[in-house]
Amino acid sequence: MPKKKPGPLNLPGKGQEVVSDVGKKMEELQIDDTQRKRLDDFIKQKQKVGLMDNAQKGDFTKTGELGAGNGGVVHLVKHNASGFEMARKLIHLEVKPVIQNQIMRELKVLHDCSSPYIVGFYGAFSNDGEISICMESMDAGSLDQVMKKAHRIPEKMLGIVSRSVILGLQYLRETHKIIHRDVKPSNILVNSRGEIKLCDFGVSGQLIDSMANSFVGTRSYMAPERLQGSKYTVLSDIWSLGLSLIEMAIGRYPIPPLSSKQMEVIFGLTDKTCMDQSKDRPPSLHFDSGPRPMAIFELLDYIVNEPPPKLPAEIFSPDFCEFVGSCLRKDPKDRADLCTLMESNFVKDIKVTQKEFSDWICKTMELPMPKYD
Amino acid sequence: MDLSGDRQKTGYMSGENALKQLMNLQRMIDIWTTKLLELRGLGLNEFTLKEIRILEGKLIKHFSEQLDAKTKVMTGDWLAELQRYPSVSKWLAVVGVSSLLANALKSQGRSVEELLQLSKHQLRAIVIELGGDSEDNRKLGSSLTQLKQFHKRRKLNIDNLNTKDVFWDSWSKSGDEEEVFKLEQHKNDFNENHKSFIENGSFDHSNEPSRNGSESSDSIPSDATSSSRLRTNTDPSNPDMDVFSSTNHNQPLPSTSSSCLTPPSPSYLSQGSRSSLDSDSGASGSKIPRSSSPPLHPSKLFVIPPSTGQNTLGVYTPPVTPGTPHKSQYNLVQSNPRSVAHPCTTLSRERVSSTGAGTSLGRSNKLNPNSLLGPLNNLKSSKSSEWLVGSRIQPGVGITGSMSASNQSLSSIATLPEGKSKHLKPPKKGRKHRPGNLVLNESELPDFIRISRTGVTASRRSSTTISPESGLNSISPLSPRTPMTPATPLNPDMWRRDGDLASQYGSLHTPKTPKSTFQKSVKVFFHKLAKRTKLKRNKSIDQMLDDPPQSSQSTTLGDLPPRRRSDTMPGEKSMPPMFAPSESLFTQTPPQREPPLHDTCSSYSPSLVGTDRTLVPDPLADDKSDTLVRQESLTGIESEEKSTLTEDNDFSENVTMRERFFRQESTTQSTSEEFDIPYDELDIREIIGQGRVGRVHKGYWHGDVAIRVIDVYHNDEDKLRAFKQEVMTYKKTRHENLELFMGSCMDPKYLAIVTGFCHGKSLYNYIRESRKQLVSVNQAKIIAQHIVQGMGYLHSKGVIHKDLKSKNIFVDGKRVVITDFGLMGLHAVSGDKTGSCPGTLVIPDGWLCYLAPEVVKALRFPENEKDDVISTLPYTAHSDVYAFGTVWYELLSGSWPFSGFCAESIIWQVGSGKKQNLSQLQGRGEVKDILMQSWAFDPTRRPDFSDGGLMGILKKLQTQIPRSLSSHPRRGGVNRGISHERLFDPLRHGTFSTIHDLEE
Repeated sequence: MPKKKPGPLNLPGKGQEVVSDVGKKMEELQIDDTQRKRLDDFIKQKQKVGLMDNAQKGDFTKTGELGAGNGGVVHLVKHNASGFEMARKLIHLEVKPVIQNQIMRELKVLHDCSSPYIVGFYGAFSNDGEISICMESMDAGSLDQVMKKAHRIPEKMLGIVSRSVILGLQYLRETHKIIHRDVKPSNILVNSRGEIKLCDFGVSGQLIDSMANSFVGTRSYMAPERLQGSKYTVLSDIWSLGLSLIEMAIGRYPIPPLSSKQMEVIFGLTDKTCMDQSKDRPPSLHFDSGPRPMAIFELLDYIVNEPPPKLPAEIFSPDFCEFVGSCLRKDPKDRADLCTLMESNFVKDIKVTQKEFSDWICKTMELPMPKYD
Repeated sequence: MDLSGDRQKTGYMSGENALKQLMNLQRMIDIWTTKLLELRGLGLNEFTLKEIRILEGKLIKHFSEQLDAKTKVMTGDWLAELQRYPSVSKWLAVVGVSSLLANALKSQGRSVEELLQLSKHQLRAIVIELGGDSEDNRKLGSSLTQLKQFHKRRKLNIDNLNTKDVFWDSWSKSGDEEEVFKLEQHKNDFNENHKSFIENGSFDHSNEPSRNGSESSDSIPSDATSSSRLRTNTDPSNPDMDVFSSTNHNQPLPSTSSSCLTPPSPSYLSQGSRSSLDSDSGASGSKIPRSSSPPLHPSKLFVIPPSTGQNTLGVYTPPVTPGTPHKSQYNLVQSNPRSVAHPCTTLSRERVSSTGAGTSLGRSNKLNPNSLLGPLNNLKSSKSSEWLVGSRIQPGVGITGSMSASNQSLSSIATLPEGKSKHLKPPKKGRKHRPGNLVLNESELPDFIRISRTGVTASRRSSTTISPESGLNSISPLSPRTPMTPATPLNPDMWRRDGDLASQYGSLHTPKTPKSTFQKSVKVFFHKLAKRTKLKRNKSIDQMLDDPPQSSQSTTLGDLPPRRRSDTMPGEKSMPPMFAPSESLFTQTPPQREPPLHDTCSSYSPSLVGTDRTLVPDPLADDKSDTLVRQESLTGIESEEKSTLTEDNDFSENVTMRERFFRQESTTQSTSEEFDIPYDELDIREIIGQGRVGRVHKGYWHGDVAIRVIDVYHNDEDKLRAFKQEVMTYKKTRHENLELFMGSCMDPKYLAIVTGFCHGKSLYNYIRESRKQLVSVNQAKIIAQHIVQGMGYLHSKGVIHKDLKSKNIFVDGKRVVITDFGLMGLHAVSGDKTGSCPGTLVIPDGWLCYLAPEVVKALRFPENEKDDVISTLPYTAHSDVYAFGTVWYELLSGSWPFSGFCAESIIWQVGSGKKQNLSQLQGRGEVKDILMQSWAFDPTRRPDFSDGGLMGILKKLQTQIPRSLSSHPRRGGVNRGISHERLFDPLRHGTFSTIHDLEE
């Protein structure tokens, strides 16, 4: 039997071993008082809700659908007993009970994931061959959704996003030895408070293995080395972050890359008429995410063999361009790591406060301003 | 049509652009062509016919576009490659002409444009000259006309074109539309035939006539007793009616015992025998008209559709002028049963005999209309019946018993009791002259001929020969067929078809058809053939008949595709002859096989289809009687063919054979009806699997079954059609390594496919259940051989599995069974859209590692809700081989290749030609060679499943367990099948899962 490649799947399981002092890590990860308070509040909520291991689907009332993601549907639900709003992800699995138990065990790691940059976890349970994962609900949705509304996310907002993501990844790695493995706009959630959190990271290797289907989307954020089958590290997450940032900045998935001229077309118009007119561009410019999808292989091969996408220097600040550029080096050895990125000018010089981000989000997503207590 | 005139002022293209466009179009054409040939092979029914027409329209469009593209090229820009398009050979394949003609045309280097410029007459002349039959002419003429017209319309109104009404029915036609212009054409055909016949004398209708002839001969009552019995029954009851007609569903043909006993004499074929013939004819009671008709060459016999000969000629003595050799021959055949009865031992004879029948027909054409009175009735009835059959309408027209005559074999005819002839009253002049049927008064005969001649000249410029114009005219009103259709007696196909129908029908009602001596001779002949080739009946006969007369038997055999043999596998016996066409599918790849098959399908299938529905067993209906008779004759043929295998002269044997035959035929022929299972009858139990195309339930229907219930989300016609097509695919497979198709439920609400229940476990589980212990190389080899065997069969049937994987293979210790073949095609129908949304492709676990690079590369994101990516993937036989490679890998390694990689990574790696690292794999180099070959990036470099391919390699794999298997010699025989004992030796000892590679 051939040796199983040391794929990424083996990694997340190791997170189990590292359940350590959360508080101490929080210090290290630059948690301010507000954040600490929020975390404490969440823990209190969790205590009210109690352990969910034996929960039933009937314990919840669906109040809305948040979306369908990899292998599962996410509903907005109300926990009947506590009245708390939660996001519940349903994953349909056909596996033996043994496997199911293993998955549940692995998911418990999530209880220990307490970070301002990681979506809070209420608990998980399984019935009827379905696994339910209950999480903190983020009222502004994912950055993917935000981007759709805003068409593009302003550079200054992306600074704070970048920092949050880096801190989240750092937390996962430092604290739990988890690699996210699926960084992309739709896995970065935001709320009206201006909090930015990661979700959907690979906690349970078994869960990933047990998923009957994989989903390949038109946008692949996968690093070249991972496509090629080599080792997957946190550096691969950084590639994904870089790609996501470009996408959010220009409003389009950047592969194949836009020519500078196309960029000009987009940005020349965006401030006034925005995207609507960009549709008038000649059909030969197939950078549109629109009707002509690349074959999947074509897309992936582009990632592997073509130069990485980059931000148009005329439009974005050099710091941002450099930041993204350092994320998108094809050879992981050349890529910046989390620490380097934290030290980059782009992250260091963030001018936007969380409040400002919150305002922008609320405006964009048409949400009422949160009341702070 | 002058294509150069098409050149448009605007829209010029560079040669290269044009070439690109041409090649693109060619790709489309290739796809549609494959599909079309596939459909033709599926067995004709309402559904396929419709599909075929649609495809024909599409193809016309594409060919037209190709023509168009070419005309847009500036002269200076001309590229030599442009000349290759549109491809003539594709065109001919699409049109469905016989291979003989196609090859001849190709060798002449004709281009499609040239063909388009031919007038109908020229075309006909060419077709005839090259040995095409009237069906060829119809198809070619009609298709070219359609192409021309479409092309014209296209130029006029580019936007508003649809191909809905553009088709030419590339199967052999059963006319359901009649148009005047077609009639005209029809006439021309007739004339042409005659002309060529007369002028050349060498006109070779060998294909059809010979075939027909054989049929007709078959149709002859095989047993004197039976025939006599029948006669007695029928005759007395219906004194007024023609003998044949009177026989309703039973034995139509009164054949004298003498005729039965005496084998057909080859002599009648030769001119030298003429004199004897003449005398014989006289004896038969019919007078041979001495006309001034030009001397006919014996070969001309072929020209005449044998069916015609069958019809009336035999019964009513053929009006042949003694002076002309062919006539004399004709007479001989018909009039003198004895001469006919001489056993034909050689192929050529066979042909001759068959032709003889045909000749009589041709003869009839020349006969005087007056003389045709009796035959007229026959003709009319026969035609109407044909037509009815073709259009699936119950013949409401009272058809006189005379119709039956058409079915009669020559010998029977010859021996027709004199009294009967009186029943046949010559049609009144001017009413309907059917050249095809012929009983003729001597005196009248010459007139007819004369008339026809004059008519011909008038109508046609070049024709110098006789064309029974008047006769044709009168005929046309009678026959609803389109002119192109072989409604006229001249067209052998028609007759043949009738015969087919009749035979089926007849077989139903009259299991015992008396065998005529004539038949016997045929039988003998086929028997020989059968012995050598073990061909299925259709093939053997058709093939033989198709061969030009001069070709020797051995050649014929040699020509047979070697596949055939492999096709005949266990369980294949039960395959109905109908499937012959399906093989054409396969054949299309190797061009050399195509010809006979093509012919076969075109000529045979339609009738069969028609039969299905039209022939409601209502023996009492008068109008049907003729059909019955015809069927009888046909049945005779078929049974004959069957019987050749057993070489039985025994009547009862024959009967059983026939019955069996019929049963088979009916099973296979009915497209879906026979396999329809009412939903209520299904006892659907627990779910045992969930696939891409729905759930698999265990169920009960006359035993344990597996029921695939397909969720129909998109309940539209197209999807339903897809389902039916898949079901048809399923139906034609019978092999011990393939899941048994039992039926389907066509209720749109509950689409379900019912198959035999596979006991045992899936290979997937089998491989993985013993975690530590891998399947030994020997076991792997055994299992693989079974898989390869099943897959080889499947491919020989033109079925691509598309989803070969260890989860679709079941192992139960005795058998290896492949399931779910072709079901991927149902994906579009099924409601499997779980979690998928536009822009996201759902990739089931493990699926990717079975996908060949070319398939992987075609994966794309669905563009919208209805965009079904799966059903657009370019699966081929080669991609099945790749999948087999993966199964082989699983057998050896216990897991999937590329396991642990995410989907995107697998897609990129496979698409880039990367392969699973094999360094950890057990086994020797050869074992891995199989993998490397099956996984070859270039699809064409992958071996196939044949002995020359994977099976051969597997057989050569050194057995690695000398101790337990040493007693068995290595399997090296090229053609030797896998013996079950050997294969399952280890299993039998209970070692299937426990024996491990002892060497290691």
